[in-house]
Amino acid sequence: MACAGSSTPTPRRRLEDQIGKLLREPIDEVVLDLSETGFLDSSGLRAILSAHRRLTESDRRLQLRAPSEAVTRLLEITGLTDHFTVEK
Amino acid sequence: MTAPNGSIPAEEVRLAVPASLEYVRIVRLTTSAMASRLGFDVDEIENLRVAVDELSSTIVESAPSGELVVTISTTGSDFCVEGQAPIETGHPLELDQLTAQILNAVCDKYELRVADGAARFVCLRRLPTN
Repeated sequence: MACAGSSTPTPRRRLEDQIGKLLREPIDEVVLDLSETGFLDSSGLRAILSAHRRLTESDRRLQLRAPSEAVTRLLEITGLTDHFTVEK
Repeated sequence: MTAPNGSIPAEEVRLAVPASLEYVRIVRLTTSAMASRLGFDVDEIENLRVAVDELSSTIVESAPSGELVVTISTTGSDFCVEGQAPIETGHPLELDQLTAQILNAVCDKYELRVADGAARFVCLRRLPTN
């Protein structure tokens, strides 16, 4: 699943909707492709944290793929780097 | 731009956008353009982008009508971004833990308050010395 654009309300809602749909599918893992996410703020990060929580609660995994430097930096600032599985 | 004595002369950019999250991007872009012009490095510009986004979004989410007026200026040795938007009396400004953590990491100093019917923020970052 790709997460493009910045963390304005529309992409955030789209992410929440997509996670809701994926929770109804027989899958073990969701990979969130962040390669096109040029900017992430606390609200976008909260959406990812919420997705992670929803998936973990149903025994599934969330992996972040190819986060940009800006996104990686935000994860470091907030001490959340180790919270997620990150694929470079 | 450098003054004859080596300091950066005072300058100011003002913009007013609808108090909506969709327009915070414009504030972010203007801030980073100004910071770039003043010689901040890439990491510092990113810090300022994040700081201004967090502060502007906090205000806009608490005051979702009217205009967000932002002034970006240099004052002495600091780069200063100030913003304000009208807010209903008694409406609190909420800053959650995640946002506070980010702001503490990316600002030298910031302030967020409600005064005179407006939600206001100030973000300061020391100007590059070169």
